[in-house]
Amino acid sequence: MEDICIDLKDIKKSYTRTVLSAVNLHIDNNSYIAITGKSGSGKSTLMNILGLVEHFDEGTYIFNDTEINKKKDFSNFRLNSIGFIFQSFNLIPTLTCMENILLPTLYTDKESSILEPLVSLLDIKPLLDTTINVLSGGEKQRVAIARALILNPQLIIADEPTGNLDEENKNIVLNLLDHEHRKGRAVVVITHDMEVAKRSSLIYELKDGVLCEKA
Amino acid sequence: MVFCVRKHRKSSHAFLMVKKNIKSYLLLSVTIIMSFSFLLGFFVFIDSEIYNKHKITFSISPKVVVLIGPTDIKSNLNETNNNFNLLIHQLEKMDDTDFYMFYEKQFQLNHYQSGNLIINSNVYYIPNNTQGFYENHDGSGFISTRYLKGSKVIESSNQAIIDENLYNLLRAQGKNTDESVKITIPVAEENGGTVLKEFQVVGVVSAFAGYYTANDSRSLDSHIFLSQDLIKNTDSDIKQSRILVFSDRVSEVVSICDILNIEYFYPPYMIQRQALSEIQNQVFIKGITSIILFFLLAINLYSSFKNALNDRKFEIGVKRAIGAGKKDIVYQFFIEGMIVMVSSIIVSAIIILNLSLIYKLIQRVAFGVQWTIYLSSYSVIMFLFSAFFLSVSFSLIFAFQSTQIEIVKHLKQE
Ligand SMILES: Nc1ncnc2c1ncn2[C@@H]1O[C@H](COP(=O)(O)OP(=O)(O)OP(=O)(O)O)[C@@H](O)[C@H]1O
Ligand SMILES: [Mg+2]
Repeated sequence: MEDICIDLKDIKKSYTRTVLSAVNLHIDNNSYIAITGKSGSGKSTLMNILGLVEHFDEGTYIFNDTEINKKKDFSNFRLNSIGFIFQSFNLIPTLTCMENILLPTLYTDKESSILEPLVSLLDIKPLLDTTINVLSGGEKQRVAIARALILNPQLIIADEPTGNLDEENKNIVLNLLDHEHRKGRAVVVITHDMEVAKRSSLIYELKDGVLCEKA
Repeated sequence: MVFCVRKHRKSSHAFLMVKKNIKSYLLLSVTIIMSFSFLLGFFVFIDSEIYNKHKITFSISPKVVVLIGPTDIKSNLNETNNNFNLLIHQLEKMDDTDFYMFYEKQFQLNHYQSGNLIINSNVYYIPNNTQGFYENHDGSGFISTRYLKGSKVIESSNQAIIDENLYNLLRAQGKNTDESVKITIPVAEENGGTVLKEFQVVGVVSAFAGYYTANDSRSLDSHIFLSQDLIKNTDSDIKQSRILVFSDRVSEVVSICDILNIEYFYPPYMIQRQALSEIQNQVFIKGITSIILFFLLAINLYSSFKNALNDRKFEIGVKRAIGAGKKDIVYQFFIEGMIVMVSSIIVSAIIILNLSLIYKLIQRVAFGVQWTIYLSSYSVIMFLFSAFFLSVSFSLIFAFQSTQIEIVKHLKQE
């Protein structure tokens, strides 16, 4: 397992108004970070930047010794190093659960051997041949998690991963994240739920465009 | 293992995505099919029209040429016409060359006349057991004999081959049964007179000419082939002789004739060459039209593909977000574009083939015309080029447009 080392320094991002003014964040293999904050405070924006799907305006972002810039695509980092569980799932509605989960394997020669345990752990085995369209929110959430983890990423970004889940499934997902952390994966989780946040080793609050550590 | 995680082949994923987006692709296909059907239909129609116009010209073997033989056939060839002698000597020496002389005579079959119908006959005296006959037709081209039934050769001096109009007339007059049709023709005698002689009709050929009406009387131009054995030196009506040459080296034969000052009918291979150049001239018009069609097609396809892409922006955003590179997306959409284009083009070809067959049937049933479906190699190349070029370029444009998508913009935001 390769080491991961991420440094965000004074990251700034504005739309019509400034959402992130100066975000500093360090992530490595030991990180299990929770980020809270009010709705609209920019948590998802920060995760999109961290997950290399959105550009930032100012600041520096070092991903494993590589400086992230606008010019390059960095799709190989997204594919091989980052597992992104989106707040809105971002599953392809016309494909089945199985096809969605295996989507990342299309773009790599790596073989994934964890489909079966992942599927049984997340309790989505009966759903595999179902089209995404007909799934409930919680089911979609679990499929999205399976897809994010299928290639064994070093960094797991989870944007409200338990928002749609009942108590039982929430525990399954949280145990899964704990397990990933123990395996040496960096985990960043966004949540409003203090129960979720407490599992992490470090809690930040995103407020007025900056991250503040919470006791 | 129940879930054996294999690396899905990207191409099969592209097929899957076509299947999943079949509705939007069907709409796109309709546009493509209409466009390509129009292009191909245009080619087939133009080519077939030209082809059918020149069909007779091309039905004649390019190996044949008819030379105008000596006019004075009553005297001995060897003595009177040294040039023909030389020619025949040359022809005998040439490989892959056959030739024979035949003679032509015209008269009216008065004894068959009924009512105001006049039967004019062209009689050709051909050697026994020779096959193949060509007539110069109004000087504009050649007509080759089409054998309709019976024997293709005359074996003895009491046999005749006649054209279908005459054959039908004889049968309609009722004196003949189907098995044995006989015809009575005046022939020359040694003493200079003529006598009516009965011939067994052994074969029927297609008619070169037919019925026409002039000055209140109807005429039939007919053709009869008889054995050369019947020719008598005393037959003063025979004025024309011809030499029919079959050769792989027709142009050589023609140049020998030019040197020896022997006349010949404009050879079929030259007529065919003329027709070909006429067809080539149409290539220009066809070229311009196809370029215009090509651009209309291109504009049409561009907007269609753009529409198809709009439905797919979310999918592209997601795939890019989970790590698909631009190349992966280009590849997928290139394959998808090719699948749609190629299958639509095949469907267009099938549609046009069927429409042509229907048109052919209508021509035959309604107008009795034998209309041949024809597509020149030029058109095939043009069509394949357009199909290939448009498929590849639009698949590529489609594919590259697919990468112009800003990932986060098209992900679902809650
Ligand atoms: N593409 C965009 N264009 C313009 N404004 C945007 C865009 N994306 C996000 N924003 C704005 O940036 C702010 C932060 O949005 P973001 O989604 O990061 O909030 P959040 O903290 O994730 O909220 P929630 O807890 O509701 O998910 C919001 O005010 C949002 O309207
Ligand atoms: Mg959010």
